[in-house]
Amino acid sequence: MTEVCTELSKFIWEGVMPLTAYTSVILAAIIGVSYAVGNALSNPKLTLWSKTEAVQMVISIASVVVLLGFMNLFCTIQVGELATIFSKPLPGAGNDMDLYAAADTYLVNAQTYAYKALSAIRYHLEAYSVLSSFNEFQCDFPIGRFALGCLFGNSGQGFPPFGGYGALMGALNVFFNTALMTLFTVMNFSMILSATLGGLVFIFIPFGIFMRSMPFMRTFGSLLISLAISFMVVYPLMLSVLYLMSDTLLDAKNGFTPLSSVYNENNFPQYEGNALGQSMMGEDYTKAQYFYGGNEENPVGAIVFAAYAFVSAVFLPSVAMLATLATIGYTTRLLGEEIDLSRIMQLV
Amino acid sequence: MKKLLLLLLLIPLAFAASWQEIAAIALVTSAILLGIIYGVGSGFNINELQALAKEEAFQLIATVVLVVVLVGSDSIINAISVNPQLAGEQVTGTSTMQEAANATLNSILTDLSGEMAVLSYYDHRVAIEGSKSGQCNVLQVGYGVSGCGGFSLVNPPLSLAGSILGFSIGEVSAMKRLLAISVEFSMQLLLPFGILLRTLKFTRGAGGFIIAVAISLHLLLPAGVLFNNMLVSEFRSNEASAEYRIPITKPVAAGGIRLPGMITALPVNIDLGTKTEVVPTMTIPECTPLDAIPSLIPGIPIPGPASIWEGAKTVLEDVNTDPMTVVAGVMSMETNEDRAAATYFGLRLLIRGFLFGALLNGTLGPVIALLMVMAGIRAFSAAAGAEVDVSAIARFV
Repeated sequence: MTEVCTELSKFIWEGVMPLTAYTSVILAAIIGVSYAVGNALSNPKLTLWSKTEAVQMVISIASVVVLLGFMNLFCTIQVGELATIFSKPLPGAGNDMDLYAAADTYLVNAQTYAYKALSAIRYHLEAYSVLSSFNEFQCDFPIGRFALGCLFGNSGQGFPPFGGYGALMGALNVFFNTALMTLFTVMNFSMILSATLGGLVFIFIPFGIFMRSMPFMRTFGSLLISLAISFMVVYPLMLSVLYLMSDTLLDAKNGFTPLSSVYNENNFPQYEGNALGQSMMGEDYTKAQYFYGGNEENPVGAIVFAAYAFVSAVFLPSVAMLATLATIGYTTRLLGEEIDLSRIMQLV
Repeated sequence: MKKLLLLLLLIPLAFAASWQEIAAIALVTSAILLGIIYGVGSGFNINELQALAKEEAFQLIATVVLVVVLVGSDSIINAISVNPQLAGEQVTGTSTMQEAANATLNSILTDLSGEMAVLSYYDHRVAIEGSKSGQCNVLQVGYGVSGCGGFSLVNPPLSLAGSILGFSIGEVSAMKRLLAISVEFSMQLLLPFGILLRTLKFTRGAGGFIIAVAISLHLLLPAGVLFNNMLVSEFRSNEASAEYRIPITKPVAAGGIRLPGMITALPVNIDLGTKTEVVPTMTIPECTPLDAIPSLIPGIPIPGPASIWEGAKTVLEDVNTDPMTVVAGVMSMETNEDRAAATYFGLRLLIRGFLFGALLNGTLGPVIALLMVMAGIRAFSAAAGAEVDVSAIARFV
């Protein structure tokens, strides 16, 4: 059992379950008193209400038992076993993780992936910004890289040897914003999962059980229980399935990048002391400072990387979230109430 | 735990070779689970359990119908999709529609990468010409002038074209990634997973949704790509598209000879693993910054774009025709101003070729395919009993 499950289990059994038992007992007492009062007053409406709510309370508690069963299963199954069953290759290391840990790991890795895409684009944008502003002055009457035209003044022609990178920078800027949004979105999904695994939705359970039996509050109570079931079962389950796809989705085998180059902040050269060298050795030397060795100039690759990151870190987690929301709708219907989720859907 | 899980699934899916077998095993597993529930209900005389098993059995029948429809559709669409006569030469040698769609996307991505290289080349050349400045002084007495400012007006449209082209590359790449997921996981993992989830009451909504996602990705995504490519190919062969068929690159010389002006397309190291060598069709005239005086040749006005277009559109279909030659044939190239205007008109002719590839293949295609997938998810999830509002994902389009 991983740390997530250990903490979660501790939170449930020491915090939520006593509260659930407490609210259930109070609810049972209220129902019992209502039934007694109904009998004493010979009020069939009250006794019928008491019987109905007693059944609903049993359904609520059964829902919680089902949820705990799923959670126990998820904390026991290892993701490697799941991969074996579906005949999928094991996603590198971490096959002994439980499903909750696998879900969390997928989102963490997706953040790494999105960040690397962002880095690749930023590297190109910075390099192009610098190269665009590089100017050369060619004196008239040249002799090699020297010229007589500048002997007593400045006579010659100035021009940017690398020209403009407007087209490439226009394209890269679009995907820089996309990659940034991708990173923030997957962080958002990760925070939702962390809050879920931190036990947030479990607070809903005792209130849900209580509210479902209160007049006019059954819809609200059903929603609370559905939220707990959906976010504790379906959301992590979907993400753990995505974890099984990590080799394809996140290029896990290739160090979480589809590119052969690794662009990060440390790759930029230090220029102190190189100014003279640059002025004497020409524009090719300057460009080689940015795109050299393993840092191949690959703006299309960077764009493709950002597009891949969008699919892996926004599109598919959104599908997981939609499946979760679909389950909320279905479970509330199962618990006897219908809710309109169209507003919540807009949050995705 | 493994044993428990295997017991739960009863039959491991590991030995199944194809997705059809995996789906069949998942269906059988679901049926066995329901049988167990019904048996327990009968054994302990629990009517609720028996009723539950019966209800779930009807749902399982609905799933079986969905899978049967899927198998039938898959075979028919496969047969159509891999026919080069219908789907284009790039699908030659493919055996499934997913492979055909992947070959089509690779072909589009290679073209777009080449176009980006050519566009970037023009952008560089025009920026260099536009930023040239001349200076003449002796002992700090003299003058400096930027006589090529006219060229700088050509850069903004090129930047905009670059953004559009980059966006198209991103869209096509996202489609490639989705297709890779479809090929590798939708039938082998998502479908059986969805079938199993759909067997359980609490997770039926999610199960139906996952089945819908799996089927839509497997069938409709590649179908959408191929369908759009067929439409584009049809349009390309039609006379109405003549104005858009302007070639932006010349053929690369056989035998790897490097032609003058040949540039290497920006590398797409992802999946394709190749670099494309392209030869731009247009030369950018050189600007001399100290030649800043406007045209001194009277009586040669700069022609309007319409007259250039009329003169050019018939000859530009030849890949070896340099648009600048066409433009230079109807206007003076004596001054920097004329050269800048000629560059603008020449690139204006070529921009149609860029837009043809970027908008039809790279933007419209993915939009059509994704809309088909969204519509499919909505329809299939409704058929599976869990209608999901996919407007959230549709907004990505």
